[in-house]
Amino acid sequence: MKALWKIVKVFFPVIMICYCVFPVKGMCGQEPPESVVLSYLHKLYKPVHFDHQVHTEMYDCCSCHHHTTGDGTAKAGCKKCHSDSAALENVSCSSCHQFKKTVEITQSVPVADPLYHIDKPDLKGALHLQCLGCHQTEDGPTGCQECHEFTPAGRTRFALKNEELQRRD
Amino acid sequence: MFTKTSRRTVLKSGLTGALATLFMRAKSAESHSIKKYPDSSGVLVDLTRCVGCRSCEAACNAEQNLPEPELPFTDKSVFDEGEHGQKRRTDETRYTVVNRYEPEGLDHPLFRKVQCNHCQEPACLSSCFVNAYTKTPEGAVIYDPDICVGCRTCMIACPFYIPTFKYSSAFHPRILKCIFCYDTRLKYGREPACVEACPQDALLFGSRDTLIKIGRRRIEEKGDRYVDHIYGEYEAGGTSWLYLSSVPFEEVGFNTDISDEPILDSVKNFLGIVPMVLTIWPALFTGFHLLATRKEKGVEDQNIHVPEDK
Repeated sequence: MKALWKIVKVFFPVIMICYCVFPVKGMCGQEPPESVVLSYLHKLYKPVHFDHQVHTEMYDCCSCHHHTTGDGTAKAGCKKCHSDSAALENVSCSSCHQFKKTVEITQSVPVADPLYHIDKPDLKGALHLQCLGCHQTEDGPTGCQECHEFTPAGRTRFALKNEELQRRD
Repeated sequence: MFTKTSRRTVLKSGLTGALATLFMRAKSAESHSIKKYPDSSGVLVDLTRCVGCRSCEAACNAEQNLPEPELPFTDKSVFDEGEHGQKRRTDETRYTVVNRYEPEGLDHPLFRKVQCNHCQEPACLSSCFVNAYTKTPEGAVIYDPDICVGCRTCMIACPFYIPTFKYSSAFHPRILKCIFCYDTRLKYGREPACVEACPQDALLFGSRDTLIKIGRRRIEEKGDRYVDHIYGEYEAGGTSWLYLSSVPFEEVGFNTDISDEPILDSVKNFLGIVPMVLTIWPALFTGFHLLATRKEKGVEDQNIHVPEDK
């Protein structure tokens, strides 16, 4: 028994290190996170814990990640160029969709890729268009407060008195 | 009785007619020139994206320090139509409202945000005889409440029924409407509060010219999703706020009868007379009055003077 414990003691850290360095590859060539914490709107809303695993079990990577996960693409627009694009290093939404977006007032700003990706939503828009768009067709929750719980500042912003919290949405 | 039709009369009338049409056309073409605001910013509203969350209303309320609403902004019962199918309108407590529409043949409702459209040639500005309104180079139509005398002509002039009167303070007249967050944001190149709050990117802030290009591109790329028209590109001479819709605009409460010529064109002849009437007429008619009564006055003076002479 003692010998077995010794083996475990020695091998466990080794196994752990190996696991960290060479993670188990997911379907799309990358280790998908179990959940993603979205806290961009932290002023008005508490962080949203997005259950990534549940979604990976139900849908292909490319149904949300457009063309960055190396498993093809479902979007007609992306297919023109990315039908067999390789998986990218970083496939997080925020790696392409910037948190804030205003169309530049000055026209002198050079556009790097003037033909495509020019009407790209900002991060907040991308997440909502993607999540809510799918939830509407797939009968997921669509009420604002079903994902977003208000912070006190959020309650004030939406003129919610405490007793009205029950009838929200 | 009959008039003799000679070659000369035919030519004469023909020539007069031709000249008349030429000049009439020239006049209407001249009235088409719309002031260009090259630096004008705007907002592209995509009705296909709006989900009626009312975040824009809440953000506007906070930004403009408006009074607390009766119902919280999470309450969706406000979308239910009022008496006679009336939709909510902007008023002194809310500079923007979102209304719900259920167009026929569509399995989901559409939401339309209402606020000042910030016209290129604002009718409110043209109608204001104290010049309380200003169109800024950034595109906002703002006003100086201290100058406003509360005549409410702008409320009638606006083709979109936007300026509202603060009826609760009639002795301190104030017209209230969306100012594109000019004082707090637009002046510094920042987007208005409603745009910042929109979770769906249904509101897109940018230069008006770029937004038109983006709008056209969306129509081109997803033709089945949009009506081939950007509302506000030409309506009433063009507006800073532009709209894309998946159903004909009249089905979601837009007034599609608004002509493309600025409202100013149909009223400028009349409005040009107003200052003249106000300045020249009093002097002119006082003069007439004095002239007409001079004789009588002279007689009266004589009557008074006669006894003194004795």
